[in-house]
Amino acid sequence: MRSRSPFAHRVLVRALAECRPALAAELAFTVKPGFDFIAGPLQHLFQHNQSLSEILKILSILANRFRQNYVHVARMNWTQPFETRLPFLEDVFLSTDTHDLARILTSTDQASFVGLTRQDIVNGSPRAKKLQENWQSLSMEVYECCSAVPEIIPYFQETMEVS
Amino acid sequence: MEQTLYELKNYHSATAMMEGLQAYCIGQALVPKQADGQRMLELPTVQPQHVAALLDSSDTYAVYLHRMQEAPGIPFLYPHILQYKLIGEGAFTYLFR
Repeated sequence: MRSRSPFAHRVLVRALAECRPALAAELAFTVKPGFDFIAGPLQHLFQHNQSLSEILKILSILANRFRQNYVHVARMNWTQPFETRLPFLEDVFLSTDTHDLARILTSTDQASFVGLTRQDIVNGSPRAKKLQENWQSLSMEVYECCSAVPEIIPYFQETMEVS
Repeated sequence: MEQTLYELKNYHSATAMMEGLQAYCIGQALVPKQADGQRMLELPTVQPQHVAALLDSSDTYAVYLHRMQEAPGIPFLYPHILQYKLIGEGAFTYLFR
């Protein structure tokens, strides 16, 4: 149980310590792994002054992400830090409207693509790979936002193009 | 005045966003199995249509490559990489002007 479910293990050890102090002394009290993988990232999440509405959106998206990566897998991974970053959503919250969002994204992308050469593509350079990863991350984050907060979809559509 | 990603010719972010949106729509389109065991997939037409068309992979993303030729901007890289693999240096005619 110590590796399969550290949380349950810890709870049981503490419960036993209350009932049978002598027995508990024999059990090695493991400190790791604990909740570090999720507690730290979650604490960092709320260091900016987001509104309640923004926080609720963030939590909905992250709840799905957590289920996807930790629950619906063959074996729970207690050491992989939970990825709480949502850089695209940050831009969405920063934007005043869809046109502003399009400008923000484009300004960042222009900077990322500056100096891209034929060689980058021919050789599959780290730079070219990074740009493709960037594309994948953005599409994944958009998918996650649509899934958790479908009311945001018209905002995304208008950002892409006038319908 | 250019306002949207498509108007700004930012094909990188436009296609990435559309990809995410399409993936969501496809997930929503699955309907329960019929009595004969078949599962129907009703593919919705995802708006906005010009950006959706850029993700059409037929003929090595011909729609996107044509658009990039006519109105060059921030590229959707994948089709260019594919095209390079298929036809070599000729792929870069309108990617690097």
